Amino acid sequence: MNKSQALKLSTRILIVFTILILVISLYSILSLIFSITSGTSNMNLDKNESTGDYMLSFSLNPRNNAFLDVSLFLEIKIFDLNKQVIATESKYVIIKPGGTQSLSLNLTIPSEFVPEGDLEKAQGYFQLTMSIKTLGDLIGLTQVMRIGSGGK
Amino acid sequence: MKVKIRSIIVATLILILFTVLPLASPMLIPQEFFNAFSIQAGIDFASLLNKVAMIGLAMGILVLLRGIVEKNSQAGLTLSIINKVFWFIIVLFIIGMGNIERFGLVVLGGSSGDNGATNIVTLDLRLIVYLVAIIITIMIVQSIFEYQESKHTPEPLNITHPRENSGNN
Repeated sequence: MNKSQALKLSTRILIVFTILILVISLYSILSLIFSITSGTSNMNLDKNESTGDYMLSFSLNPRNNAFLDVSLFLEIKIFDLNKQVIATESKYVIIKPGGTQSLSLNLTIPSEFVPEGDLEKAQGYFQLTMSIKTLGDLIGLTQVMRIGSGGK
Repeated sequence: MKVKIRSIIVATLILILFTVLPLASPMLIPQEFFNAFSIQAGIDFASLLNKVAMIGLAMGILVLLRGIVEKNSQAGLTLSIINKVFWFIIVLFIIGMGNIERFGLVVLGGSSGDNGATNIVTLDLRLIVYLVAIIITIMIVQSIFEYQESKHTPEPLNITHPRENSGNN
């Protein structure tokens, strides 16, 4: 086998390897997204009557149905109108193939940011960041969703 | 100057599929679809089609040129290297959904509405781009080796039998 034949063979092996990595990684990411969207997730908002603070809790139970370890990073942030962070909480978990991991985020919105104790009148932003990565965090997908309240 | 008929046919097909069709598609597809797609996915569809047309044109020219030059010549080697680099750009274009400069980092979505609603999805495929870059580099080195080997291969000699020579004398 001469030099160019050896290079030709290594190119073909690398092409197959790259396609395999792409397919398996995308499958791992998409299967976790499917598990999150189709599985059970809860979001509760409770008011502490004694302090007037609001407690936001978010939990989900994703399952990794793919062949690679998948890492999941979840972050919730609540901003005021000046984009100052009022409350934030984040979690990072690694889910093994075939495994399930429960995840819960708990945030406290202080009463001073809730006008007249009514959350409907509060103005600010809610931001959810979800990052799913695989293959040692080399391939991944990140989604940032932000919505404003109070007409902002 | 000889041009291979096969190259002309392939170049024409490429020009029709990747240059003429993308440029004509705004007339064939309703404008509402383009607007909806651009808002939902955060992609400038008109700009994307123009880029596809440019790539189609460049690809067509490359195919034509490869039909003209001899494979084992220096021009053939240069064209082969340009072709491989061009394919790398196409891979970047596909992976980056039209954004070559992002180098495998696909960003979709955007902001809309008065309430500051934002939805941004980022797909990180830089590892794939690095692997493709390695593959293209190896392919370029392979082309150079093939060119060198073709130069070192002795040309077939016109050998005549000694008796024929002596008979002629």
